Amino acid sequence: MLSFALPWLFGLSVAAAAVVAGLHLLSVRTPPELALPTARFVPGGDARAVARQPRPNDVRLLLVRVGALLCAGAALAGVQWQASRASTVRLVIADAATPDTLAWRDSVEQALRTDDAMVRVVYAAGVSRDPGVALVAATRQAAQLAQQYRSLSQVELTVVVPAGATSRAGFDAWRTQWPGAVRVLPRAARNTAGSAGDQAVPVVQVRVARTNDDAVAAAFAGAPAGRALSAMAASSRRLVDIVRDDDGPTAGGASPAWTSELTVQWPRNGVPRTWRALKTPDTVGALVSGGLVLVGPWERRAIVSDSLRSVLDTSGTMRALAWWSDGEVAAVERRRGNTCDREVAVVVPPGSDLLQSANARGLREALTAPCGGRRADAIGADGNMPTSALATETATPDPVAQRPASMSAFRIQAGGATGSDPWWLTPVLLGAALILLGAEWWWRRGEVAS
Amino acid sequence: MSAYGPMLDALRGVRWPARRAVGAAPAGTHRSTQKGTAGEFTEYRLYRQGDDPRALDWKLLARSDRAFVRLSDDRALLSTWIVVDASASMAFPADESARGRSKFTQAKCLAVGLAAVAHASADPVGIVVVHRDGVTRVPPRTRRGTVQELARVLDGVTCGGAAPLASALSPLPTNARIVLLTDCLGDVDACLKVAAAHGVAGALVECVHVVADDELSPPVGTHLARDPERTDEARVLAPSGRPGYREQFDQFRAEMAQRWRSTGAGYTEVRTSTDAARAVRAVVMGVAAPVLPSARGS
Repeated sequence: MLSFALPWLFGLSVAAAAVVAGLHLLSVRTPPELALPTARFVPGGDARAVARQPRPNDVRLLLVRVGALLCAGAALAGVQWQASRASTVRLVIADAATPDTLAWRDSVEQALRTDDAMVRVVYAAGVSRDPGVALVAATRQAAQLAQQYRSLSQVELTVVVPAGATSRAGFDAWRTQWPGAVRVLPRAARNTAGSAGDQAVPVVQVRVARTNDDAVAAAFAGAPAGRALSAMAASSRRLVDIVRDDDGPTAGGASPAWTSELTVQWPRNGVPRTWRALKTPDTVGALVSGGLVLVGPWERRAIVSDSLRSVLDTSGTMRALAWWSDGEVAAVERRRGNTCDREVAVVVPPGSDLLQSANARGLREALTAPCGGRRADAIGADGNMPTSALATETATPDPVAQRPASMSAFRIQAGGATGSDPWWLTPVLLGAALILLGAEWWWRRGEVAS
Repeated sequence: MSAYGPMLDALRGVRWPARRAVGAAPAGTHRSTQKGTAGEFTEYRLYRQGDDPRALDWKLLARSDRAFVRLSDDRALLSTWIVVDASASMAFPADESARGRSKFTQAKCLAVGLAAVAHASADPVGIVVVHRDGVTRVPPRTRRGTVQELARVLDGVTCGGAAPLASALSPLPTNARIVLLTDCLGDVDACLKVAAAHGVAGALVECVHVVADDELSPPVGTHLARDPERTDEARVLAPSGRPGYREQFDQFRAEMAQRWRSTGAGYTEVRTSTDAARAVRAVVMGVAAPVLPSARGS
């Protein structure tokens, strides 16, 4: 079975072949000869005239030209030969933060089908809070699968969502990024009832060497300060320590009155210590966190390292807090017992008011939320969100909405995956096209000579 | 001869008198410029010394006591030369079964028909055929079977080449009738010069211009028209160019008629679809207008 990495390019060659066939029907050629003794009385003119014929002329030449075009188009479009017809992978995304991971087995088995030829089950942290995390993980996983298995042409996504999911804002934000249908399976909610910490008032302390021009300090200036709430009961307050210095937190910087349970590493240069710095920073148009999209001229200088990514995907001690618009993680949380550390790789220009906008509230509340997350992510939602709403929405009878996602989109995202499979198909087809073009030239020269 | 049989039957009884008095020749059926003593009285003339005394009108001498001689117009034979153009252009149209008879076939019928008419008047009939292999010449004869012999010669000729007609016309005698069967697409200017010279010398020149119906109305569609006598030149005959072609061809035919008649020759245009017997009658009668096919067809 043939498929193409760039189907539009092969379609272009097919269109060119159709044009060539049309030209053979409407070609300008010498009309049939007629012996006419009085030809001298015919008005002079060009000896070539348009002669439309019901059948294409020079059928052999037409076949050679069409063959050359199709071979070249197939070679450039990355033709892929698949011996088996099963080229669809089922991708199941489930939550990895659940302590009883085995409890998900029934739901995962329910997501599978007997005719599935290839299945990949991925446990991603944060799905139980917002299914949008599953879409991000699915996008990344699909890109890896597209690079790893060239024969795959489609991917069907199934997301197992607990009934206690508190937000669908992230899901709504990322839904448009998935180029296909999403099957949502409900799962019994885990016991994530609000703890006492959820009710506590976050007290934000931003430690920065120069506070006069720091945008982060300005963004959190409206939150209760540690000294202002010193009289508040200890049970009703949580200290959020945001460290802006590039060299990490300083021991003497924290207030001695109380200890912080949550430390946010937000270096000014946008490169946390455990992250991998980019040699050439790139720009990203949007930042998603807390179900809100923050559009701005963001500059990305670091991405999560591979080791950190593997931990993020498999372990329940880490979860992502914010994502860039291309799915890359922008902020993570690392659990350390009852406390946690958060790392933010977002560069905020000095004097910027991006973090003070309404859409920045999602990022601010995600960073000041209790460890492990709370319902603060559910922006605009009251209480638990039933997964039946997601399932109902995605289970529309529209056949277009039910279609699996094409792998070609993920191959393009991965970049450079436009070659043929097997690899020798491209040179063979290009050679065939060259041979046919040479034959066409030789043939046409013979006709002109005759 | 079976192909010419119906035509010869239709031409039985047709005579072909000379358009003007012929010169001195053996006694025949054509009016001669010579005065003689034939039975048909014309005029009297005073007797001069040396006249034949047998021509004296003795009764008139007795009444008037003056000697007169009875004179009458002489009758003479007129040799007929039929010159047939068998060049490549005369073989048009080539597919006679689908597109009607060719110009050469029509010329052969006309030649046999005219020979039969001339032979019926006891005139000697000869033929000259100009074809790709040269010139075939049969001198004028009056014996029986001459027409059949001419037909056999014509049937054995294959069209081709572009041999000049003028060189075949020049050696022909001037005291004869010369009938030229051609499509006027060869060396027509040279032929006109020779015909003018022969006419001045006393010859009776007749030009029968054979025109194919497909030349008047070429096949529809776009074609690359190529003259079989000028294979190196080809022109596209498109539907948009047909009016211009027809206009130039009509002008050429009108010019041919005017030029041939200005030399004193007779000119008759015959189309390939015209019945041969009807065309022969038109030539014999000297019809000036083109001989068109009859309404009932040939």
